[in-house]
Amino acid sequence: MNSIASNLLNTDTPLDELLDATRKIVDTDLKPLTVKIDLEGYYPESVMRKLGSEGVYRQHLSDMRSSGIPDMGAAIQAMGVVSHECMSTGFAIWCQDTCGWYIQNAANSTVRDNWLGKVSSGNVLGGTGMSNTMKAFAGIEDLRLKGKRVDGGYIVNGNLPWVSNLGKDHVFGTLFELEGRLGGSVMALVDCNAEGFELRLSAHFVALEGTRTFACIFKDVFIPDEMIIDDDGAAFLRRSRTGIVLLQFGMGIGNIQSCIDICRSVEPLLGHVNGYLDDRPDELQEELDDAVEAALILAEEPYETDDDYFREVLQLRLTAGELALKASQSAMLHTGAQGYLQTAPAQRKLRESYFVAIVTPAIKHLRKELDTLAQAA
Amino acid sequence: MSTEEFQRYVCDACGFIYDEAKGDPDSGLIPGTRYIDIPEDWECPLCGLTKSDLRLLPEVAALPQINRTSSRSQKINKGSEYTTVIVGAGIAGWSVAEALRRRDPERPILLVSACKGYVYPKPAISLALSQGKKAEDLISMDAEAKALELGIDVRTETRIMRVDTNKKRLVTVKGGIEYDKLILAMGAHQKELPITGDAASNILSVNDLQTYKKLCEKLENEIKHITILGAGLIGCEFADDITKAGYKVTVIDPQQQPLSALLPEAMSNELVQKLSNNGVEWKFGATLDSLNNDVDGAYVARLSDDSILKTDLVLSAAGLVANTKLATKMGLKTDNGICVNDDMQTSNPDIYAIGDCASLEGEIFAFIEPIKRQAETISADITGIHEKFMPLPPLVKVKTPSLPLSICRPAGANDIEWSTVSEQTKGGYFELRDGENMIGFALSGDLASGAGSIYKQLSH
Repeated sequence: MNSIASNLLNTDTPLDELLDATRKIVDTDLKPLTVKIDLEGYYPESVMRKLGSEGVYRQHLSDMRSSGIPDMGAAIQAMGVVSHECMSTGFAIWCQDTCGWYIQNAANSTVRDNWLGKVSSGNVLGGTGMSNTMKAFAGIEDLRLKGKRVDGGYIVNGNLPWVSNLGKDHVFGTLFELEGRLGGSVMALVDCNAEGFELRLSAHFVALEGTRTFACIFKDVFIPDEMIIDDDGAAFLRRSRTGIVLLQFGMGIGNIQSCIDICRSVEPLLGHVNGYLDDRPDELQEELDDAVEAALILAEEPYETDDDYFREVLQLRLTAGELALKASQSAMLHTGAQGYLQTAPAQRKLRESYFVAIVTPAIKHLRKELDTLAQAA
Repeated sequence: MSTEEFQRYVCDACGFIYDEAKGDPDSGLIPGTRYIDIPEDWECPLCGLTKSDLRLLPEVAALPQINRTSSRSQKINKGSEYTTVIVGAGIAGWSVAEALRRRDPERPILLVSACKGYVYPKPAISLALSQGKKAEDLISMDAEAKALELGIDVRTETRIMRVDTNKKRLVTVKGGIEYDKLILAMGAHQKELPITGDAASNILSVNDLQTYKKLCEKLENEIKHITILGAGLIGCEFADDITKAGYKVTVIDPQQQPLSALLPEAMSNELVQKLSNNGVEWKFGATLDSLNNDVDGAYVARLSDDSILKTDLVLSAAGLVANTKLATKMGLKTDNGICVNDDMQTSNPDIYAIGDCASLEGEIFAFIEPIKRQAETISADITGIHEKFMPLPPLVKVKTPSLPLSICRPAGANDIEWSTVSEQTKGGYFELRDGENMIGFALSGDLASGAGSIYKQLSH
């Protein structure tokens, strides 16, 4: 067992207790803020801190578990509970969880020793600037950050269009191309306070507001060696990629289940006519249950690097994206005009579901990668 | 010779294609020999079945389009509470689909496969390299075309992750599938050997089309010498084929002779001799301990006798192990395979197992002829008829053209000595006798092609 874990925890919180505690925070703290988050872009920092203190961000991190065994399924389900109410907050959790995942998987133990405890407890909030990386490794675009080796670290330049869950005292994981080493790349943890680094608030979105999403501008930012996660970026991505994608199921599961629940909630009133609609709640529930079961099975092996396994993760991720679109469309049709109100959950779920479908890896990205894997097989 | 267009026929059992234009010169059928002119005692060179097992090859596009909708979600029939679901698209899976469809034209059948489900004659892999055939050349049909022909549904590249036997439901990443009867045709994999070294994970084992494709890809590199682990059936067949394809081969086996569990010693020796003449080197009484990368891109293999071998590629053919992982997770009884009774039912009466993964009283019937009979037993049972599977010792044909071999050796006959019937230059003939009765035999060389008729005497 790792020394950090033995100092912090004697036993791991049982899953039921974790989910109950998460539900309680959602009901008392998050629910009153949901519309404000969505319409005004309010960032629920106090909720994020509280979830951290309940252990939501450390379930999938082996060094933060007294058993030493990561429970990615627990991380996914807790994120699901939050996303069921508000996917902006669910997404912020994904950012936090993924940042912790990078640190846990660091080849450099210094970065792990310095940051894992802080990020996994929510004392430091963090994000992930890996959308560009994943697209670059799938041949969709070029790497946007370039680094140069200097004494004691790297100087990094470039920019990333939007990275979420950021702020002045936050950190995030990202990968930059290394000048002078063909195909070389380096994975690092970036401190948002670093000199030459700027967070620029530029974009506004139809949903997922309140997630502190910024453009990140790097002008000769020095990243010291103690913040380097792995100087072999490709190897790092290979062992971390399944976890990155698996964790996203938390958002999908929460969004889809809430759409089904919305359909069911209007059944007493509208069941006599909703019976004429396609994609009825029971059918959607069956599809979701199948997907959740498959996701939790895949989540048992987050360190599997085999291509066949990754193909299944991608395939299920695709299923989740498609199902989210179908379920939110159904929630709109089942609720009718009352779902069309600006503060109604159904229309918010609809906008959120597009995020499940387009956040990296997006549906088109998934299909491209699945095709590439199929041709290589 | 008639000017009428030549037809192509496919062996129902193994997928061997008999092309009238090409004939089957190895069996004495010259190019242009029509189907009707094939003698009744002709045997399929791959599986040993007969002329009556050949049928006209349907005109369906043989090669799949590579860039089709493989990545799209397959929104096809998901199965229902009435559907018979077959898991696995090897010879066993397709055989049971064919047998069941023949007996019941209406029943919904869904075949689910973790691989692409191509229909191809698996035994042909052992002869493919020397014939210059790539993986694609062995495909006779893709899964969708075969399913269309049989009137069944198919879902490829879909692994079964879990089976809920109470709800009768399969979990996959493409959604759940309900079943009424489930047939496990999950095959086997090459035994993993305890080999150390930084190149140990590069050892290949070729047991299906996909792994054969991998081998072909590796051979595109600078490969001169290939090491084969195991001098069993697959090891010997590959050794013969690979040397004929122009590579140097070393075979390593812990026993003192090839096919030691199957052949009379004299025949083993003859096989060693014939393959040695083609350049095969043998390392008996040894195993591979470690495999490490060398600076020049080759490997350094260290054997248990401390000898060192430089090699470019290592193929494992150490023996097949039934795929039982899913069955164990489902709570089915397993031993060296998934335990079945003589109706091929597992410990759950709604679930059957067939082929390389199924074990009847500890014995696995991994050859084509018994698999065909198992498929009949299962499809009969599902349609309400009992046709018990007879565990007859299979006729094994070793596809080593340098010395063709045909053997039938009952599982319980290990204590019985072989007796020589004849040893001539054209081949050997040995028998196993239990008192007055011949219970097994082994034929080599030119005599091997006569195995069918002797086998018939035996099984009747």
